[in-house]
Amino acid sequence: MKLQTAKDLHKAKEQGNKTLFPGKVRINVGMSSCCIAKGADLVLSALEYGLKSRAMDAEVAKVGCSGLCHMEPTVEIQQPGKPKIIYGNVKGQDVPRLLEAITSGSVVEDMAFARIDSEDHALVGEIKYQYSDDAGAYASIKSVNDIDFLKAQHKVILRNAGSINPENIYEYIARGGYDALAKALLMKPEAIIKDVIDAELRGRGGGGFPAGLKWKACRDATGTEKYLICNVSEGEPDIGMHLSFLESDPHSVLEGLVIGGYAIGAKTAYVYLRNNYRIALKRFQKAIDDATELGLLGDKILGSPFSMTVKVKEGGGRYICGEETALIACIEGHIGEPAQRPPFPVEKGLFGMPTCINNVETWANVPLIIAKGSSWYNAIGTQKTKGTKVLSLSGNISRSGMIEVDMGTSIKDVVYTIGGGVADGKKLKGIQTGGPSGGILPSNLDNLTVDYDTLKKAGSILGSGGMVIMDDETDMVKVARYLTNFFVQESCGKCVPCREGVCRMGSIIDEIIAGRGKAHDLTLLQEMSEPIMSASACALGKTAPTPILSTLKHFRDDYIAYIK
Amino acid sequence: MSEATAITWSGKSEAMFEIMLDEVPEAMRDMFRGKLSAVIAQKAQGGPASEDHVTAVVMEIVPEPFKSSIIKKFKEQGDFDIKVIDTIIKKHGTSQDKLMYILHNIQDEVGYLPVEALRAVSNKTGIILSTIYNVATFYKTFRLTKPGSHHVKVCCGTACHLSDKNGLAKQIEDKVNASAAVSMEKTLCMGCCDCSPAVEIDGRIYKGEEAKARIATLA
Repeated sequence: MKLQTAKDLHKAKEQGNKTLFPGKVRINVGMSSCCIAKGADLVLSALEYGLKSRAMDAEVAKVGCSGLCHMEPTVEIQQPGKPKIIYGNVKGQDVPRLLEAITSGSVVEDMAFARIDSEDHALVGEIKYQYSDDAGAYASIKSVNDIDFLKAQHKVILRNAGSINPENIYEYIARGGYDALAKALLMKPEAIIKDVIDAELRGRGGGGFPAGLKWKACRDATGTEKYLICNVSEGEPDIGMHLSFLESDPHSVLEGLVIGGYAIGAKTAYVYLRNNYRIALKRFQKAIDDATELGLLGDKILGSPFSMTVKVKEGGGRYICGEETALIACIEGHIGEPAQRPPFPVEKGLFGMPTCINNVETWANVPLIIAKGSSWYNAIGTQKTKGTKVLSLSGNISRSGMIEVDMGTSIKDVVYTIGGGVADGKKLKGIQTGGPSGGILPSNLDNLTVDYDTLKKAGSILGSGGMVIMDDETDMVKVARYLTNFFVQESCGKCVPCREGVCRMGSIIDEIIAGRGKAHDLTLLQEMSEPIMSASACALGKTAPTPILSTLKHFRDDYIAYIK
Repeated sequence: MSEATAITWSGKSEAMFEIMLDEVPEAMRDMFRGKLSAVIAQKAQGGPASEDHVTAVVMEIVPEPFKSSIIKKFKEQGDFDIKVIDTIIKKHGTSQDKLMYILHNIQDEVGYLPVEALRAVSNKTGIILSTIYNVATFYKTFRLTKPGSHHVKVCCGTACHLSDKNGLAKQIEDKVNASAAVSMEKTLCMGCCDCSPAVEIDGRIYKGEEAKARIATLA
């Protein structure tokens, strides 16, 4: 069945609400790759078996990651008229107790993590999801509004993650999905681009380049064909968790791409996904197939003259392919070597045609801007950086997870309020932001906020939002060696300074760790980094010495201790 | 272009026939395809052509040095069915931008990229073998050697590296190295940063502790 009008879309919403609010028990089991690793699949089969053997009728939904990575597997139980209850760290043997609680209409108090009486939703703003009819129900369980990890967050991009079945397009539609696309198709492409410019959306991949200006440049460029690329090459060795929002809400990215395609005039989009993310790949492909079947993608989208296809391209496990020109080379079937810029991809990109490349999170922001308007979006965040940011908190932290906060939130809040501080009661030594290309900042987090400019000033980058917390047992020289080795392996080998220079820096650190370091080695490292940074063609080479430089600057004592 | 005689193949005979044709200069390949398949069909006497039939034809009618070269390649031939590659290339197409799709697909089906598969891809797509080799070795996903009967991937992401204070990754590596049946590769972040170190065994990800126990049972 192809949807032709806004009315058809409304009908599809009803179908989605049938499973979201089935009039019986709905059980959400987190089933993204991080959940499965901790045994969510075993919990799911125990649940399905238990329901069957007790002849209980319930809607079991395999949802994505709700961001509570530190207490997976998570199970949410939603009984009609009762608050929704989140259970954390569920094991197969806990399932019978959960099922008994469902039968008796009660709650397993010692296992429950939080209760949700009602829920806001970024897109269905005026309709609050009201779960509980009775204000005092389950009062012994903490409300989500009182839980530090959740209350400091602002879920806009992650509005659906963990609540809907990512493989069910109707549930996405029911929660306001594809409304923005229907609205956009009635607008002039220029007006959409103006909205994105007015919203001051900045590219979420790392640089923070204004996305609207990129779109405009690509629209204005001449070419017989235009391409869009969604960059999901999260090769950074700490940011994979972040990618699970593609597993949890693939349609939000897809919707952003179609709106972008209409605004820019592109008929083909490539979603470049790193390999090894088989679940994300499978779910995204299913999202494409479902959207095509409903006429939200493919020929004559929603009855309009606009047509577009989206293709998934699986990468090959190289960090360098996150660089725009290397990514293009990879899609063209070549090895991922960066090319000289200019010409920039917006003029001459994929197959020599104008190409607009944006990070996956940037695309996911687009439906919100169109649906709610640029001034709504503009009001979130700081003066220079608007909107929210998805971060992945990992390393030696009490509560790891995938979180979303407003731009401008202080990093102290992120680490201590949301993350609960350093794991095992240890002290903070440093924090790495923006992956290996970013720097490692010292434990004084005052004045640091989540936005591009303050972090840049502090000598690091926001990057695509990875934050790795390091405790006071961490040996920063070894961390620098680990990160430098990473760059040695990931250098494509095109520019000599990066290929040879970074390798030499690595061997100097090896010598230092082996106890054969000399005082002038530290000066040497500093001096070597300059030509490497200035003479390498792409961002990988330009940032490869950063781990060493930032540890030298902030943790010089660690080096001195080796040299004696 | 002469018509190839209708012939049914059995086992790896078709793959061997393709290897045989590889030795023929490209311009004459179609002509030889017809002639040679007729000889093999005759040898098989109407039945399906077996591997022995193809080998016999090579021994009888192919001159040296081509004969030794072909027989050597027959021996190197892996235990996969070259027909897989036909289907894969038909599915994706032959242009350069399809190359990685083809290689991914072959690796999914066969488990790795055997040299003869790369050669077959080169023949069928017209992409030079060295280009294919370049791509297959640049991207770390692709394996040119056969993995063990169990394959383990250990996450080397920053978070897993930092939180792995007991050196589990190293212990797992040692365990794998001691076992012939298990092969291992290191990967970038798998997105399971709370499982440090995250370890994938035969397609499913486990927490480090659990993975270590499981690997002990595999070996």
